[in-house]
Amino acid sequence: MFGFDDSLDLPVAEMAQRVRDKDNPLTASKLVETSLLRIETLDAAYGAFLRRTGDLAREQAAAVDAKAEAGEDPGPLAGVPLAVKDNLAVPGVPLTCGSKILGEYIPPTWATSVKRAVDAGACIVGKTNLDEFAMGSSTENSAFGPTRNPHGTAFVPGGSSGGSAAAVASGMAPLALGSDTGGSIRQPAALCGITGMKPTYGRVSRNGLVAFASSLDQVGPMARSCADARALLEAIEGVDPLDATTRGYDTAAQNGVDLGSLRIGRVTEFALDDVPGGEPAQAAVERVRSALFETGATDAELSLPLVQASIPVYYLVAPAEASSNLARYDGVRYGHRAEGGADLMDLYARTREEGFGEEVKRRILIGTFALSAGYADAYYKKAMATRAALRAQFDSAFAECDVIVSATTPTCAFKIGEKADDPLAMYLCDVLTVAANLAGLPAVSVPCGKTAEGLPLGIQVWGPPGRDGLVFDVAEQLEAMDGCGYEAPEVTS
Amino acid sequence: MDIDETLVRHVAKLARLELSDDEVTGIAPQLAEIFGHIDQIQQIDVGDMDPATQDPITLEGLRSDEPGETLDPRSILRNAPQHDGAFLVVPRFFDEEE
Repeated sequence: MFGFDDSLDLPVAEMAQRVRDKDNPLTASKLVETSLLRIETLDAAYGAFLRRTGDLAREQAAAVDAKAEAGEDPGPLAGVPLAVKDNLAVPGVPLTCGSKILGEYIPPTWATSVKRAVDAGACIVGKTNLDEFAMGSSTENSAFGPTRNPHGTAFVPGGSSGGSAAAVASGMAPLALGSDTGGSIRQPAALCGITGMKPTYGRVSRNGLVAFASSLDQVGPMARSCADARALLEAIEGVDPLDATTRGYDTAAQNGVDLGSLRIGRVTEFALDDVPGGEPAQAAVERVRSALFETGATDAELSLPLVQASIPVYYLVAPAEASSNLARYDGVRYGHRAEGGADLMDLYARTREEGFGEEVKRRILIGTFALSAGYADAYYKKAMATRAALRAQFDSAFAECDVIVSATTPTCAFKIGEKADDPLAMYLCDVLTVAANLAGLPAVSVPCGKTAEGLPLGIQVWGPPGRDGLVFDVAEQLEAMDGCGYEAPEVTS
Repeated sequence: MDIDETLVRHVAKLARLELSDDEVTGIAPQLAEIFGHIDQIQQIDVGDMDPATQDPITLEGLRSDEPGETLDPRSILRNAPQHDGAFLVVPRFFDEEE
């Protein structure tokens, strides 16, 4: 790709296997240098990275190579360059969350998910751009400027994990970690033509992930293929004593399901017939469903009426939790503090006014209002009751089908600036993703062709809680179909 | 739900946000539009569904209370905007007489 050394374009398992084999000339150091060179060359056009961590990556690569040389196993991700969303903690590396309010905050500890990836041999090449505090669907809300879509730099990469998506799509790193609170892994994956997976809530530790909405947040993998994404998920999953919501689910590894025996759910409320610009995504859904039926899989038509309420429910629950989680940014413990506060209250209010961007303020206001005296019953409690009822509808649906297949987004990527002044239009971008977070379900987006203007589309496979392996098994079949799967963008730098 | 500038100022105070007049003017109609969409949940009948249900968050048990390494206080203090080497420093909020 791009005239660079192409070992970085191998499947992750093969890349790591060559590094583990000390008789093979491919080393972790060589992979890391290739990744850093690509970032150096390409990222001026995309703005995917907020910080490059070349010294750290070289140190980690040297450790992997030393292990391989000594005959020890450096792990299943040996030498694989990894991009990390900048809301995950790496000790000693400044963490911004795409916000000015954290200043030069330096985390004292590891995010468990990142540490596990590194223990498996991955090498961190940089921290990626995001919407401030992961609040957004376009990566335009970063205090450090937008990221651009590698398939067309006038377009958004999606968000909030837009930096991670652009880094993988452009070949700068084969793997990236993102976080998904309402679609923030799957939506940018779809818009950038890569694979992105939101695991079952509780499969991956949230320790060291900066909290946005704690009952919805989940860390997950982004990669060029399902096999690569699955390899990263297998490395980071599992119970963590530092996150009491983690659970010991069966591994997400391949479980050899017979596709012909599956019932493929279609949710009536996910149809895009009335959505302007929704035709290509709807056509992609029909195409992959037909192909699945050719394998012997059967059709299950379902109606989940409460899916239509998922945007209102999400935009009450997530901001309510955020307004509480973001109370800690008060000018006392972290980064930025406003000058000349007359008293403590004044210090808080002025620090937060200066430090937070527009979208974060908007969501803090929505959440504070939804929780405030006189309104909490009508908004927050009603949203939580509706969320519980929605989850019950998904439980019933998964009695009638094994997986659900839908589009990931109603449309392909939109132009940078197009929705910047219309927050409600931006929120509606999440209409096909938020329900998985509200119900705690695993869901993966895989690339499924492009629109006439050459912009990628994604198809989403949803499963019952804990069945992340099944979701990947089905998604792998879709990925292998004609016109689906990862395609490198033309270099635009 | 009617959301006007007075309500926005009240909520901003609760949220410890000092919004400028321009911000209040800009945000009030946006929040009114957003809540215009959100208000559709008032039409939903969820019967006696308990809003406090913990699912999908089920705790498998809490970790045992065992002594272990803790963070170096310096690694915390160095991130604070103002400290005296042992404590975080904030503006005085009690008068001497109190």
